[in-house]
Amino acid sequence: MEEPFFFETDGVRLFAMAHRPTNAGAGVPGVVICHPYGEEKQLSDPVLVRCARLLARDGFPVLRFDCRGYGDSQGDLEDATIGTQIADTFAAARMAREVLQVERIVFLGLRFGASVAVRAAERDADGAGLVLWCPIVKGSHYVDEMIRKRLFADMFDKRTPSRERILEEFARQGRMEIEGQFLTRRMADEMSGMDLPTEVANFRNPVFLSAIRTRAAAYTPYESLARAYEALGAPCTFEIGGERPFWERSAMYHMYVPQDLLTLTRRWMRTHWQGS
Amino acid sequence: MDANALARVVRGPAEERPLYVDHHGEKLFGILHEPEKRHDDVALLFSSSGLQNRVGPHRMYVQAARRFSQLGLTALRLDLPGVGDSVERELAGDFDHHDPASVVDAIEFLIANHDVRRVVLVGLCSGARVAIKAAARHPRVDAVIAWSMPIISGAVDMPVAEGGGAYMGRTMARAQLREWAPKLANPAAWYRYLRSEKTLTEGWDMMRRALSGLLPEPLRQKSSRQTDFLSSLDSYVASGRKMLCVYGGDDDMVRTEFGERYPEIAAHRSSTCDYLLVPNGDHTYTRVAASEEVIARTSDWLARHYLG
Repeated sequence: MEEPFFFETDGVRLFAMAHRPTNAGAGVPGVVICHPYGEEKQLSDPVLVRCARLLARDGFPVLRFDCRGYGDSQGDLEDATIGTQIADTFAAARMAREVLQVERIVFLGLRFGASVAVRAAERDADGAGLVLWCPIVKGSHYVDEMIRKRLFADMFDKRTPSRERILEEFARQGRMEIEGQFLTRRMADEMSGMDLPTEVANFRNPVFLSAIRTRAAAYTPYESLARAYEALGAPCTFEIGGERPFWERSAMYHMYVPQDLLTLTRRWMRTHWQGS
Repeated sequence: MDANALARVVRGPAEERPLYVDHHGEKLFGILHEPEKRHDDVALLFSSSGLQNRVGPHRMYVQAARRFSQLGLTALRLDLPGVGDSVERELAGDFDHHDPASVVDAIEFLIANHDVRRVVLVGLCSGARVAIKAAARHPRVDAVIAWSMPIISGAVDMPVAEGGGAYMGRTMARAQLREWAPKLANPAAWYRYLRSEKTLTEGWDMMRRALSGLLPEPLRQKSSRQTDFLSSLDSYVASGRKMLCVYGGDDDMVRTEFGERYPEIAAHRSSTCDYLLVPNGDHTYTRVAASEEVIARTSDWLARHYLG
């Protein structure tokens, strides 16, 4: 059963969708889904909805929500910082505990949402587990990736692409237009300071980490994050799932659902909390 | 939910709340924007664009609905079947995969439950196409706001319905053939093509569709979905009901195709259908200035027609 609702946190109204299983197992954790940044959220939404529904069918209560500045929630993307996204995630976790009547939470995040989930889990003593789909491990690389997207868009729009001009605009205006929304200088600076393997210190519960199929060398950041968790004693499962990014513009016209990634995630969840 | 949870769960302010619309026993999800001071008996209904949910590309539907509700207009942003939080359904992935019957049910829902007598349908791209088809089927649709509505049925390699291929007009056909011409005489291009997953039969089908675009309109190959759309659009335009067509200045092919078929509208010579060109606008008005202009000028159009 699905129940949409709005809830308030920090004076801001956020949208959420609760997915209640018809047969919830005793003691299973609830899952809070942490969405990616910017337009990636909108483009990956079909997969995240599918994931929530499948997990609910498996017996896991799930809460999806929109951080401030996203989706149906209040505010604009420029209002968002890493701090607000973490705060909104904690608020969603509190709502999940109350609305879904669970005690423990698994944070499931995609891309930047997975990075937020990592930081949230560091502070959540009742965090049962983490599912990290293609997390942004090093924030400075992600900011570079966004600048490259902007360069490509400028080229496509027949504007002379220039990294120097973009950075100058960024410094002058305090924000940069990416895929129809504004990345603020503050958010970019916060992202650039993110280096997840050096940040994990407290979380010792099971972690599922995945990357889409690509060149082997591209897995290095994920492997370093996995090692950081394992050094803490957190059992970490690293899997390759999905053939291509399902959070990019091609998703507007072509529905691609990474079935193998969904299967691997569900199997991991069932193994840890349903004994199957 | 227990009482403590309810205390913190906000029903939604008077302005925005979630709801479900029944569609043949299945549920369609939407967010209703109800203004504090509602003006008249008109409501807007946003139809899904492609595979995108009720939020729209870069939140354009959210921004627009909030803007329009500030004018005093009720607005419902709806997830059509197969999209967002509505019932799951496999979609064909073409411009006509949305079922106008679902939009008609939402129109009936607004009329039955929200004191609405006139509905304005809003859609971007394939959302505009399904809006037109629904408008042709329901007399209470007072206006259609069509953002980047494609007249052709899709790119030459988009999914093909039974009975015919992707339909294109003369402008698109010429552009497609101009793009291919250098490659036809290039052995390297042939090598790349043969190494791709595409077959020679598929290549010939694409060529045939493009060539048919050069034929006179009645002789062009059309799938039934394209025939249905064009007849709906022709009958809607002939009905004398209002329409606002918005195109991006950088969305060359799509706006040119529209102008080719409806030159009177594109030349601002229609008494009921308005045409608006947004400079620097691509197909989904990705640039913030472009989407803001679309919303602002659509808002002005609504104010002129419904708040005057």
